[in-house]
Amino acid sequence: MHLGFTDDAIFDRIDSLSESELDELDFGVIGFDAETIVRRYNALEARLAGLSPQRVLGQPLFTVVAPCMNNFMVALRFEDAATTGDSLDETINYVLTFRMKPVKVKLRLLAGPPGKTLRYLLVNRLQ
Amino acid sequence: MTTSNDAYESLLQFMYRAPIGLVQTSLDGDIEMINPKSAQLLMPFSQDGSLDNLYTLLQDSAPTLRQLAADADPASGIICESLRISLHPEAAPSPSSPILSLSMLRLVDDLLLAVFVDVTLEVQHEQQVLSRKLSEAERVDKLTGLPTRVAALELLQTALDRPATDTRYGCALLYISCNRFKLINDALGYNIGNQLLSLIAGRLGSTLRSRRRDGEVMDGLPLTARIGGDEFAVMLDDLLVPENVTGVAQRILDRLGRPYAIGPHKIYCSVSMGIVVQNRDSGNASDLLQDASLAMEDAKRAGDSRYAIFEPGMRASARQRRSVEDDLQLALAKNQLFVVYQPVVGLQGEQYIDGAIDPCAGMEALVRWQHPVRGVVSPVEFIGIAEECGMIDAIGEFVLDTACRQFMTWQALLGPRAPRKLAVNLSREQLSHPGLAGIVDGILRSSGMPASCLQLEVTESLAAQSGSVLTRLHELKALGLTLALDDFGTGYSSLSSLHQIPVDTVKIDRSFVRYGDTSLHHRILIDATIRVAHSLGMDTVAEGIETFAQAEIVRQLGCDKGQGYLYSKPVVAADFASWLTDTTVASKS
Repeated sequence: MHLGFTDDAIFDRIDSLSESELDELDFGVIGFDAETIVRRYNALEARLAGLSPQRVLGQPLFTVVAPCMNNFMVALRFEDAATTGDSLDETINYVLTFRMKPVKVKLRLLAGPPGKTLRYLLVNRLQ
Repeated sequence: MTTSNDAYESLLQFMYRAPIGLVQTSLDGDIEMINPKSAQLLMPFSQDGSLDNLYTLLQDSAPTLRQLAADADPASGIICESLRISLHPEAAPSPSSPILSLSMLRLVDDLLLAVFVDVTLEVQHEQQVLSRKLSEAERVDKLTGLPTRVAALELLQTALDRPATDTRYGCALLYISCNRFKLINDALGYNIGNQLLSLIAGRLGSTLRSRRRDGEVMDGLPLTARIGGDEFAVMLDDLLVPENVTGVAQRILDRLGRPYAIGPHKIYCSVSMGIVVQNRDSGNASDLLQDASLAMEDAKRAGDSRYAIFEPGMRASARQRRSVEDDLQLALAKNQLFVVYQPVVGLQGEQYIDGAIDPCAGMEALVRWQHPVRGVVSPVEFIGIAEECGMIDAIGEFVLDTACRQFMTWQALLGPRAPRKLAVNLSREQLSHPGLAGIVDGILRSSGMPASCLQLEVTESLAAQSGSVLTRLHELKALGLTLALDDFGTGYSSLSSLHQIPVDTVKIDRSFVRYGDTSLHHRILIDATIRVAHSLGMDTVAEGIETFAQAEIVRQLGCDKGQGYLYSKPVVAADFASWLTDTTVASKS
């Protein structure tokens, strides 16, 4: 099964992929729970962010792993969706940092309807 | 090698985790290094989702940054320190309207370092402290130290919400307003005005302090507040009998009505007072204050140094007044006001016997309002309201200007058959206007009307009122016009004080003229008035003549002129000209 970064109705398909299937994707995937603890982290994201899954899994996403996204554009949107119980699927242009260099990306913010354990951040690096 | 690599990795880790934003740029502002905290803080400022150039990124929120960098002192390298940058300058600081503090430094020749700190919470705190200080200022009046209107309403509401622990005592609210305070400010300056307000507040306090609740000593002062420029409120919650409030009210009126000594000045400042006695139907604090204010306006209309107790009917009449006020604004704009003229006829002279009159003696101009719904409205219904809402000057000028021009038109058209004198009424508010003589002079000049042909009329209660009114009357007389005392006999002044008022004519009120032919008492009063007036060099006009018998009596008693329905009711200009022609022909035939 091939999944593209911009595919429609992607949440359920990502959520149902096994770890090895996640690792085959050509974009980064970070799955995190209601407390924002990182639970899934695919191979491409680990390689391009320079962080091994062991260092990331079990850590809070917005304060330890990716503090650069701890603002109203990303973290607060997930929080708002959780508060209102709405699902979330939005793509924004963003800049991440990799070894102190700015890296342009597209971020896709995904949160399913209430009852889904995990939420996802998909990262598509543009360069 | 490994050690140096480790050190570099540690440094990267340190910068990666640093709780402040660190950005390194070229001299042109191109971002070369950036830590995650910077990305977190700066991404909201990016309009295209990139973080390429710092100057471009901050061009809206820190437009001077590029210039600051160019102007930086090379020795220190400091470009800016703690420069505040906000995403939405007009919005209150919040997570979605963050505020950053930027410090920027030129590191070496071609590198700049920018440090960003999120100060949103600090700014929020600063604003809270500031708003608390402002709110305190909003609650305590600086001049008198009394609670302000805002604070008074809160205190009053708290008092109203408190369950009555002792039902023996009733509660009342007093709304106190100074009369003509603006004149004091205008004449003596704001500094004296402010001193006077402090003295009034002090006197109010001492008057209330001296109260004792039926044999008991009161716990504290009743709530006293300054609720407007020259307005105060007092809440009494210890009235054993609610009606007792009038005693307190009268004592306050008496005490505040005494003169105040400020420097060389001895200043009188009377107050008017509205009172609401709380009952089950009383609304909240704001309603109570509003009701008290309506009662105060009622008291003010009734005259100086009075109180009025609120009655529910006052709300309806206030609404009615407001609607008249709104309509009146439109009336001026839409030319719904017009002037009518009532002839004033000459009664004395050998040829004026057996009902013959001199029809050209004069005319009185009166204002009317052609209301689109109510039809023609009499001035009794709107002049008082126009005085209160500040429109009387405009209306007064309109009447004077229209009448003067009409007078001159008749001079040109009718020559010797034109009326010789024009009488126009002045209201209380017009007389308190220091620029009145200038306005009248301007109208005389622009209409070409000789001042000696104009007679301005004031009621005797007005003329007897105060020094400033007398000053105004003398200023008007200096223009060369004449003054008449209207409605004589209905006011407070007496024949014995007539000589103190600078008038040329006394108009005897219709209430005397009406009984002139049937009541000896009234006839004697008319006679006495005419004699005293003549002895002072004044002439007389009898108002409201309706019958030939009344006309004959006042003529026999020596009254110079008369006006009333016997001759003509007030009519529009065209009808007045016809009346003149008809009456002149009739007098000659």
